[in-house]
Parts: sequence; structure tokens; C-alpha cells
Amino acid sequence: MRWLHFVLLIMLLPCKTIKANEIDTYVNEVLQEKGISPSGKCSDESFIRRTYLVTTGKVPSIQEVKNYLKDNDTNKRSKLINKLLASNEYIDFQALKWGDLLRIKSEFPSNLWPNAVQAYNRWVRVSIRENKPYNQFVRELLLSSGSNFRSPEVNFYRAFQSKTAKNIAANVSLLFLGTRNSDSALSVFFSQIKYKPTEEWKEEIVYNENDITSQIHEVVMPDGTTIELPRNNDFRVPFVNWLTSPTNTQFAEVMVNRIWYWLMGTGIVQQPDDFRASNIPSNPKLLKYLANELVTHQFDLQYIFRLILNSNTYQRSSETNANNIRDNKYFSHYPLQRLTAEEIIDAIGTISGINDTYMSRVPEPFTYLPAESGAINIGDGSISSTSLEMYGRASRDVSFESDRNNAPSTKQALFLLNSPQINDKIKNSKTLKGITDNATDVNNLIDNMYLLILSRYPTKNESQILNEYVTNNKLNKNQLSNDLVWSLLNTREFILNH
Amino acid sequence: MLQLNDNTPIEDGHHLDRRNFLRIGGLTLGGLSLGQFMSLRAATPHIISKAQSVIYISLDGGPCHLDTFDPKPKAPIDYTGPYKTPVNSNVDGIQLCEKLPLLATIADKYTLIRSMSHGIFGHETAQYVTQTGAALGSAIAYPSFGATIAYMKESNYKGSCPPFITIPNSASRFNEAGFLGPDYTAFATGGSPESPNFVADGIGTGSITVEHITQRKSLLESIDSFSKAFQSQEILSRMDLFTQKAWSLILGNSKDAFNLNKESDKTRERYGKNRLGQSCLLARRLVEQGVPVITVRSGGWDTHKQHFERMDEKLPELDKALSALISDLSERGLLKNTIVICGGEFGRTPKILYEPPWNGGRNHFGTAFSYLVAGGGFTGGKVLGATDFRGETVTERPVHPSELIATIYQLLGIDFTASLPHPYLGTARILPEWGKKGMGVLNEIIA
Repeated sequence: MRWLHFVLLIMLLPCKTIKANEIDTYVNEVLQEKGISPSGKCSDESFIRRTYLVTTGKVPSIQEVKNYLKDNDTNKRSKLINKLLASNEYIDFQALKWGDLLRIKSEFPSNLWPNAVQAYNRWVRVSIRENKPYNQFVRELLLSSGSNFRSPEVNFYRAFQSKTAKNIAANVSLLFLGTRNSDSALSVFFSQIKYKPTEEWKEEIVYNENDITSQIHEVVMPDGTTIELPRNNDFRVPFVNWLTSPTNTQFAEVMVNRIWYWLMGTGIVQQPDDFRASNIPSNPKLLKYLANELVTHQFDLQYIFRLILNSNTYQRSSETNANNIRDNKYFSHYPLQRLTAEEIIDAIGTISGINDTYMSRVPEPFTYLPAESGAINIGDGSISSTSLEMYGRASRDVSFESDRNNAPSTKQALFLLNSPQINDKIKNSKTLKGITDNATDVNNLIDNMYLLILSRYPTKNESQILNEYVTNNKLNKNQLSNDLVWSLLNTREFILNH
Repeated sequence: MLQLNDNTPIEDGHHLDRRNFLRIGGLTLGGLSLGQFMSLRAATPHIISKAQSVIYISLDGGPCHLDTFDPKPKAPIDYTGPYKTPVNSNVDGIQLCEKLPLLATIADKYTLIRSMSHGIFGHETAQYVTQTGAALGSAIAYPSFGATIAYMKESNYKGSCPPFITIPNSASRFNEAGFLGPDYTAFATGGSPESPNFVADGIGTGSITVEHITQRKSLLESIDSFSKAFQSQEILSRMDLFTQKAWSLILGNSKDAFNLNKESDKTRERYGKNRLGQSCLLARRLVEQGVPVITVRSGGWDTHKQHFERMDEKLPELDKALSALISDLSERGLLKNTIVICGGEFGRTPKILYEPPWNGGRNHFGTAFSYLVAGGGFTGGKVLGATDFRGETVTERPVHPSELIATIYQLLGIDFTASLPHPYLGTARILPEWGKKGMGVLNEIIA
């Protein structure tokens, strides 16, 4: 039966595992050239938490951590990557990222209104679920026409405060060419877009109206090619053909760089939407390689995720050495990054079993989102909360990656250290009480709280400190549990992806 | 007290902390140099400012101008409703709605702008325009005047409380900080100021004792091993700085500013023992701490239905709270340095909607509405602008929100023709609409 195993293995190999990872070759080449020594491999504990966060925005459950740490399979990191990329939570998290970029928002300034927001979100989610090839995703978005309810992707053209050809071209350049200085010549491609508005809230038709009087007959593109504008046809077609063509390397480079930024915290071109001649990639060969992989794999975005996540570069420890501590550019170690707004709030929700609830003020009467859905699934930039805003959730006013602000602040420290939101959740949590009641002894309680909040077992030293804390202050299990949960939520280890 | 607005940032180290420079510089197109960035705030000319703080009482939902600061006794009954007989104030010729008798006794201390107008009828867009002064339809979203003041004033502000505080909750209809980012969103006190156990979220210690918090703090410090292993990484030192600031707020004296139990029962009663009254009292306590911007948010003004029943409850609360605040600030000698403004995102339809489903309600009305302004250099006892006898159109000196905001900035010593650092565009003008035809500072009502 050995041959059967062999055949099965061959069949599985090409789609699910990646053999030699060229990413590391290119990264190490630059590190060597710069004289920077890389950090070692991260621990399994770091790996599981980090990978859950970057693919799903969530922290793993106690059981998931336990099972993963127990697993002796040498291939367990790849297995976990495959599992997470196939999960619904991956779809949720990617939908959030695209919702930010496409500014999906009911009210000001996108003013899509709730029905269109829902339709647009569904379209984005289906595209992610199908792992729609990226070139096709962009084609469908940019060539869309019709009703904002029935052809949801036309909402791309509606999510503007000012729906001018110039604004649209600038946004297209930012999103798909990564450039902040849009070439004004590109405006003409969007000059035929017309809107048939009804009232606020209602259906709106976006359509193309051929402009036979146009004085412009050809456009010289940023890469030097010349595009002839078709008479009696949609000007967008030749533009989109040019944009999504496999030979337009910048189109692929911007997307792989964006994924790299999502997974690694820093782009090869940083910021990921600031491609220009004077902002050179920190590792040009790496960028070229990844872009080429995207094109040769039929614009399969998940393939790029898998490629990066399986690299040693991604799997490096965030602990620095004397030699690489100043490096924040060449990927010698994994960077410490504050969790994003939705990640923090949902992690607290998962840990306590008490999610925040969210409400849409439009349309009246107010609509409440189901409590179990969490912040990642809000789907509408107009629905928010004070804590999400405080942690720098993307405003969806603009399509820049840096619209999401992960900088720490005093307000955030006050929230975790001393807010009724946190204190009440710790006090009223049935989940935490269950863990406490079921704990066989103090150490078992400590173990489970560490697994729940930090995705690892405590060290000997930590257990000892906690045991002493219990004895010195004569605490019962519930008192210990409350103080421990509060303390762990306030550790740097919790608030950072590491 | 006159205060020279210091804008000599180079010597003044905390004018530009590293964090802000990194954040703003790092995100800018090409990156602003340190010098360029410095010059942004240095660009403000030396203006003598009268005001140090602003209290904005935001009547969310939009109060009806006819039923508050612009009564229309000559209008038909289907405009006035039951409020037919305005009350005379202590200033000749100024009348207020009959439900505001206390405010009528101190009309010499404030001015009414009866000709506010922006022509916008949606809550979120009207809030955006009244609070940013920017027009709709630009490519970027501007910060509210609260965020802008917090940004412009933070270097001169030495207090320990956050520079921009909202009581009790934040604006929810648009992103208040705009492109300035979450550092300039308001600190929301949360909670219910009218409750006897009110504490500000995060600052007050509520049901947990200080001893217990201190005990937890020492536990946290002994197990937070991560800080040691990774201590040389920059993000950790920044987080440590904010954590220390937070602890000093929690364990230090500044939380007293939020403790309304420090006020006598008589004072608490004077403001009214309801949410709006106690919020205004808290605002006065924060002014005493030098907090530059305080927003009091009062909800429930969006009265499409049962308008007069709701106003019968809300107007006496507003009357008591606002008159107590202005008088109290004045008695304490704080009014000359403190701007108080009160109004909503728009007015309400002057003609009452008696037909179903409204059955005696008023809808949104952006064509004409009123604001009350007091203190900080605003004159008292005046009326600026006017509407017709039914309150339907502005007939005199229309005032765009941008002009009111410009006047507030001028009184605070902020150069409103200056620019703000914009994370993507380099810079953006503080008031993008400024310079349009007919716009001007409201000199008529500056003392």
C-alpha cells in the first residue's frame, strides 16, 4: 500500500505545500549584504498566535493552542496555515481589509446607504471565498455598471464625496497602482461614467455614456504605452486591459506588497500605497519575485499568502539581537505591532465571552447587529464604538492603509487599566467563571488563563510569582482569577502581535 | 487674564514630540522634514487671545430655533404651537421662548446668532459641516473644531487631563478627528454624570478600591516579562510612557476634576440634577483645570414626533443648566476666558407637521437656525442676524458655520488661515472654505 500513499502525497503536494522558499533567499541576500544577522525561528506559541492574528484577526482558543502545541507533526506550521486560510474567519478578516480600502460606509463621506453597503459587502465576501483571481476582481470592480443593489460592485463608483472623473482616477491609482500622485491623464477613462440618482437611500444606476465629442483620442500611460480611446465604446475597457495585463508589473507588485505589509507589518515598499521612483523597495528582487509568482499563478492571492506564511522570514522571532535591533526595513526579525482596534476589542470579547454590541443609526428605527458577530464583522464604516475609534479603526474616509492608526495612547492605557468596560467584563464573564470554577487547583487556573489570553503556558517563574501572590494576599480562586485576567490583559504581550 | 500665544516651537521641546513627528512625518508624501513640520505651527502669528477654553453644548438632533432662541410670536399658530408668548429678557428688545425664563434674566451675558444657515438637512452631513466648517464634496474629511483646537493648543496646555474631553459620549455621526487621526479624538467620560456614583471611564476608580488597584499594579509589573525581553524596541518605550501617564491620572489628583461629589448639593441643584445639568457642571470643573475643549452632548432633540411634549421636558433642563453654567463661570471670573456656545446641527421646520405620522412634530431644517454664544471675548446682550416672521428664511447677515468657527479660533489666538499637517497631502487649510465671497469674522459680536 506504500505506493498509494506516495501517489496521494504527490497529488496533494503541489497545491498545499511549498517546497523551497525563494523569499528567504532574497531576504537573506540583502541581510548579508547589509551585514545584519537575522533572528532565529519563533516559538510555536508565537507562531500560532501570530498566524491566527494575521490571517483571521482573532486569537486562538485554549483548545486550539493546546492541540497545536501537542502536535508532533514536523509539518504542523504549514498545516495550520492551510487550515486558517480555508476558514470563514479568513474571509471575515479579508472582507474587513477590503472594506477599509473600498471605504464601505453607509453615511458620510461615502454615503453608500445601508442597502448598498450590505450588497457590496456580500460581493466582496463572495469574491474572497471563491479566491477570485485578483485581476478578475479588479476588472469586475472597474468595469461595473448598473444598479447599486443588483450589481453591487458599481458601489466602487458611488463611494465618493465628489464623483468626478479626477477623484475616481486618483482612487484607482492609489488602490491598484499604489500611487498617491495620480497621473491626471488617467481621468479621461472615467469621464463617461454617469449616475442616474433617485433619492437618498434608494437605488442608483451607474452607467457609461459614450462621449462622441471627446477631444482626447489617445492617452500616454505612466509606463509609456499609448492607449487609443475607442469611439463609441466604454473608455474604461482599454484602461482596465492595460491595468490588469500580466505585463503591467506595477499592478502585481502593489498587490503582493500589500499582502506582505498585512502579514509582515512593513511593506517592501513602505507605505504600501506610496510607489514612486524616489521611494525604492527595500528588496527589489523580492518584490519582483513575488509579483512574478502572482502573475504566473493566475493572480491567486491565497497562493501569495501561503508562500509568505511558509517562509522562514515570516516565521522569525520578534526578539532582536544587538546586531539587528535597528533594522526595521530588511525583515531580519518579526516586528512588534500593536493589535488593531478590531483585534483588541474582539480578543477581549472572545476571552470574556462578552462581545460589544453595535448599532446602525440608519435607517431608523436603529438596527442592532447580533452580539456574537464582533467588531471584525461590522461591515459598515458608519457603525462604530468609542473604543474602536480610540484604537484607531480605519475611518473609511480615505483608501490609504495608514487610515488605520495603530499608535498607542494614554486613552488606550486608561481603557485597559481601569475602564468599567474591562472591569465589568472580567467581573461578569461566565466564560472566565467557568474556567475558574472548573480549575482543579491554582496552577491549573493559571495555566488556562495564560493559554486563553497569551496563547501559551506560564513559565515556572510566572507560576511561582502568582502562587506567592495568592498566599501573600490570602486570595480565593475568584479573586486570583480577576486579578490575573486583568494583569494579563495589561501585559505588553497581550496588546502586541509578536 | 490675557495670554500670549506662544508659538516658538524650536525651544519648546514638547511642542513636537517624537511620536507625532514620526507618525505625521512617516506618512507624508515624501515626508515633511522636521523643520517644515515645525514651521507649520510656527506659522501662527502672535495673536493675543482672550479665550483659553471652549465649552460646546451640542444639542444633537437639532433643536427648533422658534422654540429656543428665535421665537416668532407673530407667526400663525401652526408655527408657534403652544409657545405663543415669548419671555422678555433683561436686555431691551431680546425675547426668548417662554420655556427659557432663567436664561432670559442673563441675556446681557450672551449673544444670540439667529441667522445660522448651511442648507443641509441630513444629520451626519449637517454635523460635519457645523463642526468642521468645511463644505461637503471635498476629497478629504476635515477634523472638527474640537480636534483642531486640541491640536493647536496641546503645546501650551500643561494640565494633566486630556486636552479634548466630551461628556459623556463622542459624536457618532462622523469621524471627529478627521485627518488629524485618533490622537485628537475626544476623551469620552462615559457613564452618567447625573448618577451619584459617576466616575469618568478609565480615570475614576469606581467600585475597585485604590488599594486593590495598587496591588494589581504590582502583580502586573512583576509578571510583565515581555517589557524586559524586548525593552530596547521603540514601541515598548512609547507604550511605557503612556502607561505612566495613565497611572498618574488614575492614582493622582487630577481625577478630582471629574468628581462631582466635590461640589455642594446647592451647586449641583443649581445646574439641575439631570444629565445635561451635571454635564455642564463637570464642564465648568474641567475649565478650572484649563482643559482647552470640552463638548457636552445632549441628545433627544430630533423630535419628528411629539415635539412639544418632549420640549416641555427638555427646555427647562436646558434653561437651568445653561443659565447656571454662564452665571457660575461669570461669578468665578472664568467667563471672560471661556467661550460657551450652544446649538445643534440644524434647526427644525418652522411649520408644525400635524399630519400623520408626525402628529405635531418638526422635521430637519438647515435653512435657518440659532446659536447662543457667550464669554471668551464674545460680547453680551446682542442679537446677530434675523429670520423672517415665521423663521423660514434668513433675512439679515447669514452666518455660515465656518464664520462662527473662524471667530472662535480668533478668540483663542489660533490663526485660522494657517494649515494643518495632512498625513497624505502635506498640508491642508484649517478652514478650507475661508475666503469665499461674503465670509468674515463675526466682528459685530466681539467685545
